Amino acid sequence: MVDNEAHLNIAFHALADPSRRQIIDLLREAGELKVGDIAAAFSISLNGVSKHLKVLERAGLVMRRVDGRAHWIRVEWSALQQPYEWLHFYQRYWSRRLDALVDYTKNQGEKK
Amino acid sequence: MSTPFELTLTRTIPAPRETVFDAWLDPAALTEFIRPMEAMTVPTVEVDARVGGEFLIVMKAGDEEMPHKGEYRTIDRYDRLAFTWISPATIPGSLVTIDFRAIDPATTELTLHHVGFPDQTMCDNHKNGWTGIVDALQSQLS
Repeated sequence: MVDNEAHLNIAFHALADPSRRQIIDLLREAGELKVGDIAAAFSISLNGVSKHLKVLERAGLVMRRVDGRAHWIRVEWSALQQPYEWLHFYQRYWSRRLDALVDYTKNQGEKK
Repeated sequence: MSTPFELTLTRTIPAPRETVFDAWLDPAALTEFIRPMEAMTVPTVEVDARVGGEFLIVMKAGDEEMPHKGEYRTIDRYDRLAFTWISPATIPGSLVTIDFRAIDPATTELTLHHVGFPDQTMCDNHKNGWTGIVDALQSQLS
């Protein structure tokens, strides 16, 4: 659970930046892109893109494939599932709590 | 707009708004409804029901104790209750906001909103970018 938490935090931090979310969006459209193509798409420096990609890579959100001099980047979809798991966990959790709350208030009503 | 770290649930509860609201701040009531499974016990419920006050709910499954704690951010009787929620399953700093609306004197509409961010400002800042990612994930998985 702790590892899960740590990973969620890293993934969340990585996605907190609008430029990095745009990179993910772009990769979603394109599938796999060269680092230079990503830089060109956002008209930011290669250096700037590299920094963002490093953060995304550390979070496990993108994968890098080196082919000769070309560095290809693609989204690692499995890493994006964790936010989903959080959502589903609490969806279930609160749904059941609210059912229990309904039962509780019914019992209160009957006691009166 | 929903995001992966944000969820909203609505329930119509056949009880007066006062009863529903107070249940969230009453240790005896919380013991009844806050545990996730029948098999679990809730040995500790401490509630300091004031803004800035903290609560501690310890849930126990077998020998494993799971402390849930947080701090009350809004106590607006009987309209709104907001508290931070930190549990072994939550990233640090999530916020639960509950709105209570009286449909009639004996019926309450409860809306629970849970965001995985320390506060609303931060949430709003992050909101926009999430939708695309969720859509992307959905199309990828389908």
